Amino acid sequence: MEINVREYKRVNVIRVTGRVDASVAPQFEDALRKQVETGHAHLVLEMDGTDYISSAGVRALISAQKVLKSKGGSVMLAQPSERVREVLSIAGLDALFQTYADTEAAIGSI
Amino acid sequence: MALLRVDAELAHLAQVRQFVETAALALGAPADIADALVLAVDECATNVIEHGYGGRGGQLEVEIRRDGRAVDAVLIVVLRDNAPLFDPTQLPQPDVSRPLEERPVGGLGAFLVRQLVDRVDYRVTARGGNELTLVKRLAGAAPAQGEGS
Repeated sequence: MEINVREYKRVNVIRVTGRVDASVAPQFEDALRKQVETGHAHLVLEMDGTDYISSAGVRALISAQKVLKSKGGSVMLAQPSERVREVLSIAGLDALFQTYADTEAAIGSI
Repeated sequence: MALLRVDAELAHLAQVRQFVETAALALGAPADIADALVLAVDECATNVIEHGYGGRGGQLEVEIRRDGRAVDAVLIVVLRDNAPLFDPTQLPQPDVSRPLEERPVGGLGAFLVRQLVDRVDYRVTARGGNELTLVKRLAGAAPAQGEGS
């Protein structure tokens, strides 16, 4: 798993590539928490290169979403991979995350 | 039948996933069924490593075989470990219809497993270990490699 953060005027973008399983979920959670606590109310996650995600990664997404929703913001998913979309759908969580065709569309929605 | 024995460590999850994918495809599973089994086994193995052994380490065994033929073919994955006895099939189901704010964060892995496979059975082995069996139907799948018609 690789995490890259880009900071913009109104939003931060986190690019997540590779596999997010329980062995790397703590790093994923830390990166999200840092952005959620110190960044903007809106967070865009670029997940087109996220090849795999298990419940450990999904839990980090849910935690971040809970905090940002309480701040009037949200976690948005830009171009999530088929694997990510499938897992969220199976978990019954797809409705909890707004999904956009690309990062520009997600930023433009704010 | 394919068998993998690894030390129960999170760092070995990738190896477990690779083993399940390779074995499932070799046993005639289409890619979507192999993917579902990979995630289901990852969730079960993670649970054994994190909660069963509690990070203390131990052995984890994963066995995959195919049973039945043609219309009633199934893939069977058996996970065995020697962690303190725990039956994950008794975990309560999370209510995914509840609003996000009211939902507990735990239990998601076990919920996913139940969605991903057709059957989950637990038993205590003769040696006093945990044994979890996942059954996934292979309706309309290709025959296993080396299987006659």
